[in-house]
Amino acid sequence: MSEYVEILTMWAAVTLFAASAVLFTVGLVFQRPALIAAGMWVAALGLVPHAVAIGGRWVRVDHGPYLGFYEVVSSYAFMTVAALLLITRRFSGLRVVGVVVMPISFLLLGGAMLAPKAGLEITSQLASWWLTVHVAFAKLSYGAFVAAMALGLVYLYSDRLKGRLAQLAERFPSAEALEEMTFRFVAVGFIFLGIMIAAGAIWANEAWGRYWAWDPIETWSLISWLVYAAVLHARLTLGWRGRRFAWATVAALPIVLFALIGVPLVYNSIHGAYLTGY
Amino acid sequence: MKFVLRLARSPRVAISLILAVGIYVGVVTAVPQAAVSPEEHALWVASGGPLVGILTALGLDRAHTNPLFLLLGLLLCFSTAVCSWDRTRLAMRLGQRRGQVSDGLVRRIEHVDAVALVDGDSSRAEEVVAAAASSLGMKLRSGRSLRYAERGAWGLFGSPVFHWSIVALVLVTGLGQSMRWEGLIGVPQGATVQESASAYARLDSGPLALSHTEWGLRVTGVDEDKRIGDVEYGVVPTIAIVSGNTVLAQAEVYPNNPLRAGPLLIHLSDYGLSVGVEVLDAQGVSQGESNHIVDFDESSPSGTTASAFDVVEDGSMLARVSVEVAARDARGTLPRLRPPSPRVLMVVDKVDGSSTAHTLSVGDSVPLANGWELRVTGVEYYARLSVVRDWSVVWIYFLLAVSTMALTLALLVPYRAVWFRLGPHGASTAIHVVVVRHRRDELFGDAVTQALVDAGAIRVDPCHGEELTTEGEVS
Repeated sequence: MSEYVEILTMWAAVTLFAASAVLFTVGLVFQRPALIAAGMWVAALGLVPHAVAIGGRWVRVDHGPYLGFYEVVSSYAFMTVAALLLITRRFSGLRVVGVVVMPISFLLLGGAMLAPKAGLEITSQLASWWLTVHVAFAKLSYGAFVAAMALGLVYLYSDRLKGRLAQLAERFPSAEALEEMTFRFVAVGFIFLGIMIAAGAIWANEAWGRYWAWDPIETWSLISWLVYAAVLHARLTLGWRGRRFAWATVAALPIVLFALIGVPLVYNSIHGAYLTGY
Repeated sequence: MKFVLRLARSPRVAISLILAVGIYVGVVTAVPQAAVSPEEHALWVASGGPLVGILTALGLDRAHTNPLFLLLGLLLCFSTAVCSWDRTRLAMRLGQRRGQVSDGLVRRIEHVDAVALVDGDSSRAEEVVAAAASSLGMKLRSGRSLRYAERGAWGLFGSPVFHWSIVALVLVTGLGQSMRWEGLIGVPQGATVQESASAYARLDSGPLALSHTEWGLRVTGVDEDKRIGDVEYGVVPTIAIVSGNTVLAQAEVYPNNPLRAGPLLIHLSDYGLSVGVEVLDAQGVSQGESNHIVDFDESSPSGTTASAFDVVEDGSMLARVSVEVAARDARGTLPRLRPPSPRVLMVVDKVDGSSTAHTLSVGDSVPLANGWELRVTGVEYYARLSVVRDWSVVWIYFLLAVSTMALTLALLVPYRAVWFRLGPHGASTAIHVVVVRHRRDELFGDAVTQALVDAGAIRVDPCHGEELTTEGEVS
């Protein structure tokens, strides 16, 4: 796939994500469940050109979507929408989560489209099997934490839906089931984040001869892990349930987002190349 | 002591310590760290901003060896150890209790969670219990009057093992850091350098650093254009580690392909050029050969530093000689790649104060004093090697793997058990259900109820903890 076709395909995904975000928002504001359902379908439709563009680029530049702001942020947008589709496939009543997820995905992908799109080559430092493990688990943990946050929001606001949207809320899983699902996504994300950090440490030792150097992005990954450790402790030992646990999952997500996307832009870090180029 | 232990096992204290460590390491990322980025730190200190004095006085520019950070880490480690001990005891107690299906247990069961009615005698009820347990993925054991179903028995030990492995990880990392040393050593192509403290251009050692090996490090060859697939590695040396005449290990060294030999881990930090020289006396007899690496100054790693050495005859200095490869570019930077026909710029400062500069080819000589001369024997590469001795790395990997597996068990395969007590209830059979929740899970009780209904119970009434009498009836 040529770069021109890739960019056109990616813009098609941006447009569909934007349309989906509008449908979700209008559906929620004007209490039209049909628009929310339509938003879901448009999001799924947007994922098709997005997957094609990512796949085409993968073949063309000969590496996965993990080098440069455009690739990295675009792939996080993909993971976000994919997580939404997976959850709502199992629990169709949770479609309303899209009102949060789709604007975020649209902004992520739209932001990615503004970044330089030249393919960065794999350097000798990056040529490692551990890169694949490290990046794969970073994206999986991010997807799990976004899903937990979205479920936390549903838990918090499901009893506040009114009018026709209240009918939608009737199809939500029970509060206990929502809470258990949120807990499981946090737990899985916590495990994945731990594997991501461990794989990064092993890779750093192979590439540079040190497993930990308090680089800003290493540090913020550790902070994310500690914050979710605190969230899990709060639930399992302090018995945080219901709204408190839901709020904790919502409040923890910005730290992960900052670690994955914000830190390379704010700090001067050897890790920065993966977002800002060499 | 009891107060300290009570404090250490408090979940609130544990969570506060976790967050305190997180906040501390987060805040100090805003302060340039001397150990993380020395150049940035030096510039920051030189800037003399209003906060520099305060932050350096507080030691926040050396945040990860700051006593406050070490204290927080130790407190968190102690709290985790105390929690680990408690979790181990709890897991062992639950582990010992699990599977006990004696009649005596009935007296210890204080509450039932549900009563299911099965149309038929006890054999029909047994079928229903077996089917329900099977659908829940639980293993069923039978006593005389009790049936016991469980799953995830390994999960009981997930949390204790995870917490112990985190404690071990912190201790091993701390001990490893204090016994570790890491240094940069330059080895010219064809030469052997003995691995000892004095051979390092830069050496960072912990307070309990282990001894050096005294092994020889040799660059046996250099590939100037290493490629694997589409990836360019550039100049890649082949390094051999020798002990006496024995080669202990030998391999090309490039990123993600370090050389390991015994306790040593060797990476290529950089490379450059070296100049080989030979001192000849007035009779033309060789008085010694040496290789001089160019640009090994850590304070100026920009490729501009010549190498200087003294030539001495019977304890008297003949001259101080500076050599570099004569091919500086417009910015004054020394060449990275060996020129096809290398020429050497040699500046000789004699003891009489005179100074002469010479541009020489390989094989050319320059006069020193008393008829002695210095001959250029070659221009080759040198490898700047990062050598680390750290026994803890392999244990850190091991503990990371153990903690990940244990965490997965603890969070995703939690221990679940159900007791079923069967008893007559008119023409039907009643099944009293007691759900054991190691970690509170509201949904599991519902799942048990649903499994009994699916298995054929005609009615299941949740009891929400009504008392069970020794006769097995719900009061």
